[in-house]
Amino acid sequence: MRWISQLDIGSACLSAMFNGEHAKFVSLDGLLVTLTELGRCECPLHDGDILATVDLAGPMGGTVLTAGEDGNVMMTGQQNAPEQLASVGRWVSCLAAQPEGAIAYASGRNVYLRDSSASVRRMQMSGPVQALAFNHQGDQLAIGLFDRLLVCQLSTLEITIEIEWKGVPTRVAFSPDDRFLIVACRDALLYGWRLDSQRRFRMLGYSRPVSAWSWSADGEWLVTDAGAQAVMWPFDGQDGPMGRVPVTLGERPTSEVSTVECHPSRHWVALGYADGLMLLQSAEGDAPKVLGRSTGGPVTCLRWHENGELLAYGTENGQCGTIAIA
Amino acid sequence: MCADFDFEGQGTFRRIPPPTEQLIDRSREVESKLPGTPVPDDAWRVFFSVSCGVMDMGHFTRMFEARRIALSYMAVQRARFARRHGSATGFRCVAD
Repeated sequence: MRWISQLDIGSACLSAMFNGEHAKFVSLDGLLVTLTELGRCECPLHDGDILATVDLAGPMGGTVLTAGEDGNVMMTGQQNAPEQLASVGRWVSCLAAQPEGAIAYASGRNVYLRDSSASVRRMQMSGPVQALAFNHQGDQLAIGLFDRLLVCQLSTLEITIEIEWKGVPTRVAFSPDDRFLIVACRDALLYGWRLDSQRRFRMLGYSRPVSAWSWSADGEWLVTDAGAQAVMWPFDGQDGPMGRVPVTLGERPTSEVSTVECHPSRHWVALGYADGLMLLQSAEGDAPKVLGRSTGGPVTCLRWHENGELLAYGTENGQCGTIAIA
Repeated sequence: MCADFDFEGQGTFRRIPPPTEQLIDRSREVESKLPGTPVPDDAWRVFFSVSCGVMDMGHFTRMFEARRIALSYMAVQRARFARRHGSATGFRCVAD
């Protein structure tokens, strides 16, 4: 392991991503910071704090979507030129992006769907929207509300699935094969549904609410933070994790896992801890390798380069950097 | 060894679990890989028996260190196994 770059972005790092070989970092107070051969480049995105970020993968890799307190939704492409996609005049708290270019954002009870041709459709929900996620096929949108989860067909805006349960969702995600829908909420557990049968399951054992998760490259594992360790839930079988126990990783008695990120091609997980330590843990149970230790407080985000050899990290106090995996 | 003698218990013997075959084998394996002269079999018999015996202090130190390493190794292996299989973690997925 060796440090490639280190920088201070001034406030908590919300998201890290790569644009080619260069890492980009999004700060809580509305800045996008890039470090290139030419030096540090700062690009103000929002007037106020950023409330949601999504970084795009595939051909749109290096593009980041942000939404903030100023009511704007911004897209910053590979050339670091921010473009305003929408302005709703109120806080935009949820954001999701589809690989084909459509985006969804929510402000209060309203969900806005902006397709790739820039036409916007609005849906009004019965309560404040808490979380949004597109499926991987790109034809459905999951909308998390208080005590309710909706799945909307994008072509018709018809609600095809409505699930009620007791909880306040904080994040929602489809499994990479779109068979399962997983919801993290403010309680210390995860809820899941197998969409073809709408069979519900609960993933239990957490000591606090889940704040970070990541799917393995092959989609067979969902890795989440879980207090002093990370947990890998198996999603490889017909029923996914139902009736099964997960594998735990990276337990440290002296600190807690603050974020997790799966390697893009191997069964490796990068783990960030509340004391700034970063470990690389193999799912096969080999001894963890120390990636580095930041002095910037809890690690808030980790992101692998698509080649799997570079890892960008950000911390709560704004210390960010890039690590090369030897 | 004298490990069975409980001095605080006024000379009464306390029950302790005997060493497992796995611990004995692992300790001897570790000891054989330590630098220096291997200890004789007799010393091993005394070391792991519940009765007292006489052994060379250098042998005792060597066997004690080998046993400590073996115990640590086995503890890590057990913990890893439990984690891999999730039996002791309390995490589970319940279908409703």
